[in-house]
Amino acid sequence: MKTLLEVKNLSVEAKSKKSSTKLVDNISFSLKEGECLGILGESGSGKSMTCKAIMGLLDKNFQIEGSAIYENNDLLKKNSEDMRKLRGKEIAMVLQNPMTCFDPLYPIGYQMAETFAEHLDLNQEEIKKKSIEILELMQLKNAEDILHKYPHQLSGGMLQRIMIGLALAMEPKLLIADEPTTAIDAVTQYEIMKEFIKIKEKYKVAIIFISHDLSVISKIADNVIVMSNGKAVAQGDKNYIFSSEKEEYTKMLIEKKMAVMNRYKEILHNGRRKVYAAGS
Amino acid sequence: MFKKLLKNKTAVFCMALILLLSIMGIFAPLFAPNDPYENDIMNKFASYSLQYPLGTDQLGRCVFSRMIYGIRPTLFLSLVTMLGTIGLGTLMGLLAGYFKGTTDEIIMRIVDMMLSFPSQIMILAVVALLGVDIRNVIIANIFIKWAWYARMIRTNVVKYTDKNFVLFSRCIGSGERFILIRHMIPCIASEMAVLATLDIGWAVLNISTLSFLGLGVQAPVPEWGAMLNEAKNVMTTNPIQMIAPGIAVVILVASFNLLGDCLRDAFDPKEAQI
Amino acid sequence: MSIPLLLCISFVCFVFINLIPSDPAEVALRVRQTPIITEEAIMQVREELGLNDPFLLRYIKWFIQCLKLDFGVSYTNPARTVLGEIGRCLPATLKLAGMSLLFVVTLSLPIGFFCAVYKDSLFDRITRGIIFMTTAMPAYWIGLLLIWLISIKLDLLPTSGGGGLKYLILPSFTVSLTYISTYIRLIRNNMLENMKEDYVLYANVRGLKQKDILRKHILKNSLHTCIVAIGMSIPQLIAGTIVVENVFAWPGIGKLCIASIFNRDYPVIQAYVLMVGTLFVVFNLIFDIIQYVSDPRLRKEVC
Repeated sequence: MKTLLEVKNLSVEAKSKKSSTKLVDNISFSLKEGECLGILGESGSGKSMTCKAIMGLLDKNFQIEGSAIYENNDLLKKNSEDMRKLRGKEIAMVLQNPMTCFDPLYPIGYQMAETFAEHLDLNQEEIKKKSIEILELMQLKNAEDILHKYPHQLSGGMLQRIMIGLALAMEPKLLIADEPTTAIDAVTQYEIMKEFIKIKEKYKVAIIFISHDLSVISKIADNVIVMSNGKAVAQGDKNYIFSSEKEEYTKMLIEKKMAVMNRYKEILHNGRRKVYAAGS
Repeated sequence: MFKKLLKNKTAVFCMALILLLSIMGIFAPLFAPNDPYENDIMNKFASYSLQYPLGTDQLGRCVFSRMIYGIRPTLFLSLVTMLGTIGLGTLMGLLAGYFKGTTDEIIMRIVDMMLSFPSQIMILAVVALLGVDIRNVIIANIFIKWAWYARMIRTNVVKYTDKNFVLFSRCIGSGERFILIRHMIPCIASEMAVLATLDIGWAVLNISTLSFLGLGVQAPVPEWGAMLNEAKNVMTTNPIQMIAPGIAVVILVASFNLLGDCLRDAFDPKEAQI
Repeated sequence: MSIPLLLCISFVCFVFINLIPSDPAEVALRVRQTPIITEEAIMQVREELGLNDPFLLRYIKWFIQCLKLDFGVSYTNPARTVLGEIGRCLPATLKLAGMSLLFVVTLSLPIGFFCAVYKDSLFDRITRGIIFMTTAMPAYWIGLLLIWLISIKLDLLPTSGGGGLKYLILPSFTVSLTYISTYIRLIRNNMLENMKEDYVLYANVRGLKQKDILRKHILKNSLHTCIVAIGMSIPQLIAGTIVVENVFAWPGIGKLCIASIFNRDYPVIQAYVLMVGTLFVVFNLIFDIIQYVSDPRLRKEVC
């Protein structure tokens, strides 16, 4: 499998009139086709910033250094028009708050159609057919009705699926998922994770999965980066990180999560303690 | 808080300007070269000279002296109006927000009703009712405008009444008046300061507009709005009469507005919009 | 909610007028320039004007008359009805207000839009400076300056008086100037806030063109609030023409109102206040409804 994205020494600094703060400090990783990289960290650790920088979504108040090589091109050096053509088509992104990500004044069908119209060359009929196909692929019933609905009339889980479907519809090579399950309840979370795993295994799309939830990352990621205060404090294979990582912060995260999980299992199995194996 | 304000150069500039104008107004006899009421028909529309720095108006009075003496009614009356409006508004807002319940309901209904009228019209109506006199103008202004401030202050007070330190103060048995004076007022003081500066600007414009229409300060008292009313008729022959008081009003109001904006920025940087 | 408000407004109007310290009968006689005012004359006029009935009865009578659009006769000139006076002057004011509205909409929307899009550019900063200056200027002074510059110095347009389009331009521009500054600010701030919203980020993520995002999403969301704001200030516009009508000698109801105040012609003032108050409530209601209907979030959900 060849390398799809190679990020070297990525740093992002926020410039303001009086001071500048380093939000992302010297991050490097590489991602192969069909692989999933999990970025783990608490809020404010710089996870989203890294991906926004790669996608070219930061404005001129931010200073970006380093390189992000995708198909022999440095994404950070591309101009905004070229980046725009890549976004949504070859590199897709799924965001955190599906409820606020759609324009409240337009129905869903319209917003899906405008995305298709922008990147693909299809007529009205074909666009509508494709939209319904995608919605059915995401296991949403009454696809025709949903096209006419406004965002506030649908639930968070449904909107999240529509976002994933829309991202998938373009057949991207790289999908960045920024905390897609954070704003969703546990039952829907399980369903959404199943979709992601399907994307990874069936469609062989490379995924960068950002989350602060260990259990979710452990399910899908192959490699993991742990970020804290903009720096990568631990990096490597998932199993290694979860079982043998010596770094303090990472160990603390894992231990805390394991404590919760173990207590949960204890209650479920009436007192019989089981050793928690990572990735179950 | 004040230190932050003093660091802001614009704010210092505005405050200095306002202070300068106030001093000129208070000590007008020292600054004005001539008596503002003295007519000298023979000398009307004189051009600029050392004795008459801005020339004379249609009755031969020194324009510059009238402008300096004009600071007094303009500034003083606006100040009185502002104090009255904000005083009454704050009192009502405090009572409504702090005591809630029926007091709140009654006061807010009255406020709603007052706000549903356009303020200009109401002020005119009240002036019409009470007669054409500057005191009535001030009363009209206070009577109409307090509603706006009451509502703003009430929103702020409601925000603060649920804060912990107020509840604690009540727990240890402080009297209501004590809480109101020692806790509430400092909290809303910053809001009040911003509103006060912006309101003076509005009051200056309002009083000069009414004087311009002939409903406020009466001739021959020099007031910038009234001066513009007279200047209207002699626009072609003596344009300076029209330009000078206008520019003076703009400078005064702009300084207050700028000061209000700087105050708002100093007290809450998140609110810095324009 | 609005109907009780209307009733309240009418009641307050009536109470107001009855609070006047001077006796309307006496005033009427004086204004009619009766040479000697005797007690009998006052009593007679009292009967004539129906001032001897109890308070509530007078209120009800007056209210019914208002509903019939009969506001009585003018104190100054009993030959003319108040309705007639207002009707004579109203069209002129409406023309003025209409033209001002046109100016406001056509100027503030594009300028506000470009100020937001090119934030902090030279254009933006100059515009903000001009706006700041304009808000500190009294409306009548702007009018006077415009008259001086354009009519007298440059002799492009007539100075005053009512009439056709040429006469209309300067006064309506003066009225609109104050509102234009407020709305440019409103649109600019609204658009800047909308630009930070999540759906704009997502639209960028999907790779939509910048100008499409601006036009279809940001502008539409901002317009929605702004149109409602502009609509609700239409009555303010109609009422606020008073000063400008004075400066430009425009024959509208503002001029009538000022004259009535000086002449203490209370029926006219009363009718004017009542009319403006009613307009206010009605317009607020209309635009409340428009806001409700045009925002999909506020309509009832059919899920």
